[in-house]
Amino acid sequence: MADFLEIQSSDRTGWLTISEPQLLSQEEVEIQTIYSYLQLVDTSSLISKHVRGPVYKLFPPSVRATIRAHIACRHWIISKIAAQGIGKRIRQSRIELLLQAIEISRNRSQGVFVDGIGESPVVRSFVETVLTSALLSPQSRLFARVWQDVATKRGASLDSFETFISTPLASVTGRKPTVDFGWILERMIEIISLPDTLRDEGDGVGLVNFEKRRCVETRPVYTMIIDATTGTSVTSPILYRH
Amino acid sequence: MLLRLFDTTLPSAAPSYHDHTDDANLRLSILTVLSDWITQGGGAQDLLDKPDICRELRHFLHNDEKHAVPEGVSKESVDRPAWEEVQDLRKSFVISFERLIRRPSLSALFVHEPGPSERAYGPHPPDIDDIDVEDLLGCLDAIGATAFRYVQPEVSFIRLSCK
Repeated sequence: MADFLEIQSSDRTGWLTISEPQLLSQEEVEIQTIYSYLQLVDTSSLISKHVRGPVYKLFPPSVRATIRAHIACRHWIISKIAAQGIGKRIRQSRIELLLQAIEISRNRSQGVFVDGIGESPVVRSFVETVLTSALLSPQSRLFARVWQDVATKRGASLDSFETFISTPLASVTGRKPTVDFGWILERMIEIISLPDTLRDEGDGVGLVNFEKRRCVETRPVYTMIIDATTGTSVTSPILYRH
Repeated sequence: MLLRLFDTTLPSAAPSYHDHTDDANLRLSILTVLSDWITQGGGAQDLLDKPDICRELRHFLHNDEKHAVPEGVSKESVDRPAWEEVQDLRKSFVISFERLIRRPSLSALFVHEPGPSERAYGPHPPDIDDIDVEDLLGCLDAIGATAFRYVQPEVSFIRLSCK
């Protein structure tokens, strides 16, 4: 699987989509996630000249099952947010419930801290990704008035989803949620994107990129992958050791 | 190709003096290969990506006419046990096929530590207007955990290495 991602990344146009950009209004734009993007990106010709279609179809069945789980749950949540025939109040209470679920989920993920990833101190969980992706879907964003009311109630701004999520003061006890597999894929691609060797500007000698090697050996991605294969959650103490 | 091979065992394709034991063994082999592919080889996920093949295989498995025991095999026939074995395999294959194309294999689950999947949430989605936020979290997390644990050890993530 890492081989596929690596070859796809070595193709200069590997991560570009061939579909023509459609003229959509801002409300209709689908916010991409790693899941939606992997379904759009075609298999690179470097992987195979004969295989056509999205690159994710080459992934092992078990990985595709995790992608399917995300898609199925996301669709279910969207169907509840954008359901027809429910009043404004019910829709608002559903959105409020989902926002609370995100808050609790993020709070429970706090212990899974990753050093070196400053912009994301909380490792994204499966639940958080599903709920966030569904709440930010165009179908959900269509209900602007409901979102306005939710924003007013929470003192949030419609321009930033982050402002809707408040951090509870008291620590919420409970199990750490399952890590989002898409997050692991993103970290894998991030590490793959680092060059294997660095060229010294002075004498032009190629040097081993120890930073990449260190990432592969010690970053939680590696640890979590092993955890995933043994069925344990990602709360392994090794995560804190880095 | 396997399904075409299966068709050669049908009474219409075989002359009357044909050896029914060979037919039973051939059917058994074909069903075993297909079953192994679906249950152990991750074929269920492949089928979900290829609905045409999924439909064709389902049609094949549910086609009683195709799987009927040839008329030439009587109850007292020496070939009977082999044919019964074929029938039994087909029945169990149909059950596992229908189960696996719906959700990840439960056989892949193993409890390493107390996990969210220990609680059964039932086959039906909850009523979102009548669910506690904790239950909603648990329900979704159980799905995520189940899918995550299905990631099999043979997936060679560890091959992510510097050259």
